[in-house]
Amino acid sequence: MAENVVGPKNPYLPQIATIKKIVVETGNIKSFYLVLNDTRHMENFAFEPGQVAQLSLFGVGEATFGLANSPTRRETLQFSVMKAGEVTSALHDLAVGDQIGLRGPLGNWFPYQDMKGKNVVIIGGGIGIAPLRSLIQYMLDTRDDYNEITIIYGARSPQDLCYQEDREEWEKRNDVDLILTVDREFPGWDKRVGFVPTVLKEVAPSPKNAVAVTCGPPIMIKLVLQELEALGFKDDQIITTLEKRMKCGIGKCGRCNIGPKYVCVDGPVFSLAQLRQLPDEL
Amino acid sequence: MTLKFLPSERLQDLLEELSRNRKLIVPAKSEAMILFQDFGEDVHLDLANLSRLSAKEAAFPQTETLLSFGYEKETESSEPNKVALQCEPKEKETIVFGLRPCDARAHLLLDKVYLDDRYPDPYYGARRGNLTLISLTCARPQKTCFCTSVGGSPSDREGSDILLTQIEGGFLAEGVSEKGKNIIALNLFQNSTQENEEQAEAVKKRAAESLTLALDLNGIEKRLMDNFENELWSELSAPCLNCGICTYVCPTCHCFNITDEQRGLSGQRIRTWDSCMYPLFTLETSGHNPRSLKLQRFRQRFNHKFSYYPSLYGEFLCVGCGRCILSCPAGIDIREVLKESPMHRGAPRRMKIGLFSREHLER
Repeated sequence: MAENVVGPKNPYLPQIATIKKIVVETGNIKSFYLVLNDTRHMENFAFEPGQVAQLSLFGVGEATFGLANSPTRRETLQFSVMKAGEVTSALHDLAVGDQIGLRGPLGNWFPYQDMKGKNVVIIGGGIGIAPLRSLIQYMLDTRDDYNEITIIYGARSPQDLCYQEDREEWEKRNDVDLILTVDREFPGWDKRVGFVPTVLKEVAPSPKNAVAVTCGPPIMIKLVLQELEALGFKDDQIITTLEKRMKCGIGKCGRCNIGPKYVCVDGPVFSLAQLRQLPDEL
Repeated sequence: MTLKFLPSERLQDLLEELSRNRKLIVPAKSEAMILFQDFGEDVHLDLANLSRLSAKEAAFPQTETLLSFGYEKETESSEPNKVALQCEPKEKETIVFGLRPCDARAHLLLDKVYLDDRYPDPYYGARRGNLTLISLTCARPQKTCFCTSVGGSPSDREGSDILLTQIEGGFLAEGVSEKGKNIIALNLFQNSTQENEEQAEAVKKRAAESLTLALDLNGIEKRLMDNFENELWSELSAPCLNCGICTYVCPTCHCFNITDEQRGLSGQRIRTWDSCMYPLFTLETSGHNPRSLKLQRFRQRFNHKFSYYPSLYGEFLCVGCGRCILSCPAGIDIREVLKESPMHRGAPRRMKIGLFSREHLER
């Protein structure tokens, strides 16, 4: 019944995937570990860090999520979902064994090839850490290709930090510098306190031979870009990944454009230098 | 080019022949307006006036099912739920008869988006592959027509399978594509005479000459980008009600929405026309909206047609049919916007509405 009879390739037809594991990351974020039912498609599902997919809850709708794990760790396809709208709320109600739809991978990816040999500064806030986790895992699995790796990751409170297992791994390793911050003081919290842009200013990574990759809420990105510029980072040394309301994911439905670029096919990853070429309509 | 003559008295026979085993849609009177309708006995063909809606629906229907889904059991069940999907092909052979050359040409512009190399759209593709377009030279262009300013003409053959031109006693028929040539090979058509051909040329010439407006769109692609933040957009968009009728009647507007509908255990995923005029089009779950202001949505429509699309495909996303002008309740005239617009008036003044406005970044 699931055969596609319209044509050999139908970019609108999702693959059926089964939820293999659900990790409750925070009060409103869950990570879903998916496996495509068709084993051949699962084996052939080639993605890059930073790419996205459309998850389908048939009867509710589709929404776009970044792949949160690295292609070097692809036993499952992982998506971290913050409960916010209709699709995400319905996703949060699902259990292990339930089936959903998946279309992807879609979009471009972080320029990890161009980042080889450089110092990489990862700056994430809130759920914005999800696509960055894919890149971090990838770089850690190909560690020799990169110079210093610094991760600045902030959330509202200690309970709002995702990926406990990853954080433990990053903290243990001496070849990655993890800086965690929360918005205000909390009992038992002995790490940094302050908003991500402020902490970035304190840490003050050098722009020399460096690339900064950032993702987070729009206001955080805006302030992070200012701080990075103040630190001397040039536009082509700053990479970000954008979110837009999307429907088709294949450059046709017309809603995710910034000027002539569609975030779904030309993005979601852009350098600040590329964004400067586009109209200011983020 | 194959030329034939169709006598007026054989028109009905031709339409009956074309509707056999196929879907045939024709412009016909429907109460107050002319719309494309399925050919049949009660249909009052009207070839003289411009239809209110374009013919794009034949390839890009207002609503269509992308897929059907069925769950194994109620979602309240505690056991894992399985879902099965099904796609239905919609490949019925369709002929559009009597559309304007501008409407036919619009299909070539839609093709660039829907039949691109990377993600060809199978639904559009199935319909488009089974579509035959029989156009009629626009003998008396309306005051709102401006096809010649955007690369077309009242007797443009681009995109048509057959171009008909109404002359004394019938129609001169030009077979443009193989499909079209096969149709005019039917014995309802007669060999054309030199007189027929001369008459048709005269009709075409008269039509082209009646279009006196020549919009200067040279360099508009860049001018629009240079003036993205010009405050004049605010002035130009002020009368706009964001009702969306301009995009609805447009033969080249192709934005859509995808929604799910479910009853019981099964349902459909549906594609419907959508419009950049509506705030919900770009509203994000967080509440953030990159085009929350009317002027941003207004600007998007013009920029898409005369800057973004041209930068991707080298043509304007407009065929000059003038329907948006005819339908706009606020009297907004696309030609006036293009003529008068920000782009021609002095140094741009800057708005500060963008989230990442350059004033913040370039400190």
